[in-house]
Amino acid sequence: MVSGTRGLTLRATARLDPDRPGYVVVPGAGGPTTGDPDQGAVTIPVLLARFAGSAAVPLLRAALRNPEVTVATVCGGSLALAMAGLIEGRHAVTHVLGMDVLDATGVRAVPARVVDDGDLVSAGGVTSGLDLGLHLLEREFGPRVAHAVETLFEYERRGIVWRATGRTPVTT
Amino acid sequence: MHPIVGTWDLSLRTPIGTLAAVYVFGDTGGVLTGTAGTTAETVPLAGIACDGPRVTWRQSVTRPMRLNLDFDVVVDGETLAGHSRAGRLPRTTVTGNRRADPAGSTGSASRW
Repeated sequence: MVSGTRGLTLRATARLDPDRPGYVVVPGAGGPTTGDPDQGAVTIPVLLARFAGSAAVPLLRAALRNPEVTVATVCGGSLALAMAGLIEGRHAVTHVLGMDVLDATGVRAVPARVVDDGDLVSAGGVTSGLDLGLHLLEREFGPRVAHAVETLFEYERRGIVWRATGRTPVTT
Repeated sequence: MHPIVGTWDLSLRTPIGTLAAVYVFGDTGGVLTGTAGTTAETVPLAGIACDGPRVTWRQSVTRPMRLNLDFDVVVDGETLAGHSRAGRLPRTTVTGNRRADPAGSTGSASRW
């Protein structure tokens, strides 16, 4: 399929199987952030909404319902799921430019770098995908494995992974 | 009977483009009711409240994308104008025109 900026072509070699245990990673989209969709501008929200109307949605719905699958998202991935109505009421983050749209879909938008909502783990803009990966590694295989990968990649994660546990902070 | 009772053609803006929708407002024992229909779905309106010619309501749409919308419009005869807002997103202008014929009597039922 043609994807990404400047018509980069990606070849899909398999179809998503939501019955297989493991992880499904939903990426976002690249494109213009300004412009009027009524004038034909194919903005990122338009691209994400196209995905939200595609045949991928029933597969992702099944993946989200499968207790043996964790769905992880980066950048606009969570917004695509939200536009399809798949993560209503869940806690999630998306790229900073999409947070207000995410909130308007009925998702509880949390401005953290990574938001862990159990079988839905979302990350913000693209570099937070590294923090997402290290968090999932630690969650699945423990801190020693996560640390070894962090060392190999020469990337030290940052930011607190947000979860809806513990005390609620007092906000002013 | 409130002046919004009847059938209206509205256009509303979403992050992915303008939607055309048909609104039907009714009066059931003094309580305003309503639905909003597009080619894709018809959804009920919630929390309809009026203050003179001003009417506010909430609606949740799922197509073309899941969105919670708040409306605030003022009816002026055969037209209405105001705005809608999706959460914290900037509010957008809403305009509407009353249909001369009730929905269903002109073949528009196929849109529902």
